[in-house]
Amino acid sequence: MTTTVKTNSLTLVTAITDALAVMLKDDENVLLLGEDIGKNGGVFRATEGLQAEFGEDRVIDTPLSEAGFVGAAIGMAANGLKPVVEIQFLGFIYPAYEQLMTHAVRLRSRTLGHYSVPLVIRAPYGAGVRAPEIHCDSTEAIFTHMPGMKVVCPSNPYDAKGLMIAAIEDPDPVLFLEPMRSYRAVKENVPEGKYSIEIGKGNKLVEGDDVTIITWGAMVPVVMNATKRLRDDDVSCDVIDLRTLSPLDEELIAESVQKTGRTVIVQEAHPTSSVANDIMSVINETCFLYQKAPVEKVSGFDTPVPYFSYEDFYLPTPERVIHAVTKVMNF
Amino acid sequence: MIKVKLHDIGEGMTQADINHFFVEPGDVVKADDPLVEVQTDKMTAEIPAPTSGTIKEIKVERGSTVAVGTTVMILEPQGTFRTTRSIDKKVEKKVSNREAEGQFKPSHSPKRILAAPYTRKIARENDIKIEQVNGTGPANRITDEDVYSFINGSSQSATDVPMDAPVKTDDQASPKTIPYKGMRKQIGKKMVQSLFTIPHCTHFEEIDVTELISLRKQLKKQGKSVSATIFFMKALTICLKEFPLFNASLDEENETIFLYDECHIGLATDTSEGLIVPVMKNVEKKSFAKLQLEMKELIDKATNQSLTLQECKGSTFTISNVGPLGGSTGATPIINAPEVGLMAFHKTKKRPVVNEQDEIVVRSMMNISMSYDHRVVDGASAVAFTNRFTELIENPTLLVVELM
Amino acid sequence: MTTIRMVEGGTTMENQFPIQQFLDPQGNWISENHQELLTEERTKEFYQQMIRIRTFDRKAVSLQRQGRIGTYAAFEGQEASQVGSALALNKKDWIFPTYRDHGATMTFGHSLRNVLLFWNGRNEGNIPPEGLNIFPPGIPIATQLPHAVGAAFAEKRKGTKKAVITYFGDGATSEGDFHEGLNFASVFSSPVVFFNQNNQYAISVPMSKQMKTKTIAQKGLAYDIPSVRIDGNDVFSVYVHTLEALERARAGQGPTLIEAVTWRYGAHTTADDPSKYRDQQESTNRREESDPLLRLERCMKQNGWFNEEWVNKITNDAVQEVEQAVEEMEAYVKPDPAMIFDYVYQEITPSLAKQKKALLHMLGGDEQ
Repeated sequence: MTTTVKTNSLTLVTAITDALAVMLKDDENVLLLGEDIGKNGGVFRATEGLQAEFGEDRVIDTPLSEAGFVGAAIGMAANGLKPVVEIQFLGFIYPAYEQLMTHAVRLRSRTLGHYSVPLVIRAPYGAGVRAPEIHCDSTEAIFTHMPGMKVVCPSNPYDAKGLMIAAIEDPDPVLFLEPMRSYRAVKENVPEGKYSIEIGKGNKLVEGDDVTIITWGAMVPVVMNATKRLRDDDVSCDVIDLRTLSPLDEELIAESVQKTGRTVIVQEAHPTSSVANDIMSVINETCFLYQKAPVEKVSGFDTPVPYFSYEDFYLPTPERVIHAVTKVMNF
Repeated sequence: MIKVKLHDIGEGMTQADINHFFVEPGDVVKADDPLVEVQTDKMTAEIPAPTSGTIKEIKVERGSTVAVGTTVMILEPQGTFRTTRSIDKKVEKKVSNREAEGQFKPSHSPKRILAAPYTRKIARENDIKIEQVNGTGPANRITDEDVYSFINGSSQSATDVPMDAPVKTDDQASPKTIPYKGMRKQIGKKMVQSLFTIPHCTHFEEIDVTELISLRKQLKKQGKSVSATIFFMKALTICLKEFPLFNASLDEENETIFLYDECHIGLATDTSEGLIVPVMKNVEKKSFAKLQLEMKELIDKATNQSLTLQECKGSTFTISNVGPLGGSTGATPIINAPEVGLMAFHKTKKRPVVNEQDEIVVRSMMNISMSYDHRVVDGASAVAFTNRFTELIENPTLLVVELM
Repeated sequence: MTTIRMVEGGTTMENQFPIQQFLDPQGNWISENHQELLTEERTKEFYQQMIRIRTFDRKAVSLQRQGRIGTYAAFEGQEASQVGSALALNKKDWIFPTYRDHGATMTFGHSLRNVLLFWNGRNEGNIPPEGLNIFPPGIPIATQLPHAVGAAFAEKRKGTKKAVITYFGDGATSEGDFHEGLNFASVFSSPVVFFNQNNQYAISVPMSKQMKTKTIAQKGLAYDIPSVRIDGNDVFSVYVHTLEALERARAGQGPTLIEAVTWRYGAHTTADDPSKYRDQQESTNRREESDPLLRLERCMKQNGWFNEEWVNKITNDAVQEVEQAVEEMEAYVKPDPAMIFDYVYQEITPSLAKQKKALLHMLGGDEQ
């Protein structure tokens, strides 16, 4: 007997709305907090219609105070609620940094598990939509550096919904990064109802033998574009969408790099002290003897994300990915 | 003509619905007059005229959904209209020019090669494809030695003059240069590696080989020619059994000493190309005659540079017979890492010796030097080892009995 | 029995901080004070500046819809607050604006071309004209307040008579930086004016959901900072109160908090749609009832100063000036990729120099 799953055609942002609706329905302790998420449905419309459906006490417009509502959400989470907090843009999370670093991620260890913080922070991130300055940051590494924090970053509607549900059900704080420029880029059939994708597991998007390309979030379409063009040159790429940046899927990385012996990591972030460097460390530990070429890193630069007239210079492009692949292939 | 397009006016929107038009073809508009109202999932917005002019054509239908970048209508401007921004195209073009440079040259070998980057570097520097080297390390890892052996096995000509030849000045000695590369360089590297890792200690001993010489002469009379080296090797197998730490190798990283039952004796051999060490396998099990044959074969091969990789690998103890070369009276040989010991045999000379009866007699004397890894064995064991060896060589009958 | 006594919140404070108005929406002078300020020359100066920045504002929204600049934050409706406060400044004073205060900075003397460049994603737009102290707009809310306090501290230490003004909105009062800034200024008696434009909405969140208090001015009480609530659409009230606050600062009397109550007619930015969260009829009504420009027109008419020809002339002048700025902005030298690397440090670091070289090589440009 076959069962058919009903699906809806959703964009990444509407898949997130769908996941939030599923969880608001599923668990009465789930509640949403943030600026402009109520009547306005969020500046990116990620919470469109949710206040009307679930009420003002479940979908709460907060005062304009990131430290305030993240701090409050920590108290709520420690006291039995499951807050999902929206930070309007990742670049505006910094006032809440203290609350996250000094409290959210270590309340469990401070009290040896007596209190915990099952909190989800949602934040759109990244450049490429001609938004004003500071709206375009890609500073995930600040958060992967936090012991006790999980960092998740989907690249497509299906993963976005499954990971959001997993994040809300996770017993620990999760930073959920949403690639702003992929919000409305594609539509995909997404199953109705509840399903989840395990946090900490990456996804192999393309199987290949010559070179491993590791990436996530908004860089996935860039890599896929490059991969297609590389195929014409007879270079076959093993493409990994990490989906979770902390904890890293070390097994998937090792399996692929041991096969290909060549790696290109593609990230939008600044290269210094970045997630790519952590991936290199995994490769060094698990694939030292398999390496045919030094790992190449395609990143933004160690400059503030520039104003949007300059952002095309800053952002990794398929050309830069191809250039890096050429380099490892010709090493 | 100006194409009035739908731009991304909402930070990441990709499409919009056309709600209604404020103009129709033929209408004259002023700059910034509203032309069309669009609806995105973020907002409703009016798109105004970029300049004054006449509407020539409307390209999309009311109620339709159009993608960002679509031309919505054509406007004939009044006067001239300047617009800038075209950096993206320029950049893209240049990049694609660059792309042509990228020709992929590596082979798509599906074989998984285990080799440390340093090993790969050695291969690369010697123009060797790492894929062609057989790995003998753990899990078939290609070791530095494998690459060196591969180099030794393949004929190498060394005629290139090094790039950095020293600059000659008047008051300096003016050396002739010979290239330090290829096999010479590999030998050098190996020596350096051994000497820098292993704390070497060398014991000297003199051995009376008069009895051995007369035994060999006797055998020769019976038509059986056995070289002294075979006797040395056989005597060593007995010593190595009794002092297993000398038939061993140290893996310091894993804090392990490997002790071997087999006596694979490396035979340091001088060739025109330099030092090569073919290996006599299982010396303990083989007859004198067989060993004699095998040794001759290996030395011939070494001279003709036709040794296989297998024949140069796996020794557990190495000897160096420098006597036939005219020989020195002593040396401090460098151990064939990762082995524990190496014994060198020097020139045999007739010398006056005081015997047990305090008489001065003429005896054939040979010096030996034995280097050993001081991390694995101590001086006392080394003395016991060389004493036992001396005893066996000085009394070949005893040696034969012990071998039975 | 109640031991904790609560101050009768809202209404008491509202009464304690009545909205100060000189010119009513019909254009009548309703105050007994400062009548000497109401001259034809000053009224026309205010009006001309407001026409100028409103022309700019509308053009900028249009440019954004045509894809010729990026996201833009319009200030239409808040012209009196911005023009009145900026004209009260001395040219040597400092301005710490937000992204919605270029009406004030342009009135103060900022280059229109540079303001457009800023909104077109060019850092060049942040450079103020020679001799003027204009900080780049604070993008994260309320972050500029402590900066203003520090700059004021420095002027005081140098012994100058320069003062500092910083702008911020109603939503900003929820941020820690607002409270920290006020407390610092109070403790150090910094010569700073906290100029709040209470346009009553932080994007979609109305003031009633932003705070329980009915006024923002009352927040100064907690820090012992003299505070006043004024009609932000009455350019005279704005001008007079800002002038007085600046004088207090110069006289060593420390900070002042001004709450200018106003209204933005349009969206938060061009990426926003206000009809999602409020009835835009309210904006239409306010345009008719209390528009800052209309109020001056009425006032001029009542005093016989209104002259259609003059209005046409200054409007045309404004259009010309704005068109000129747009042309300059669009003709501006193309973005140079080297620039993103050259100003991160005073001297480029070795690793950054390498990254720069790699990018320029990729782009096929000259390697410097």
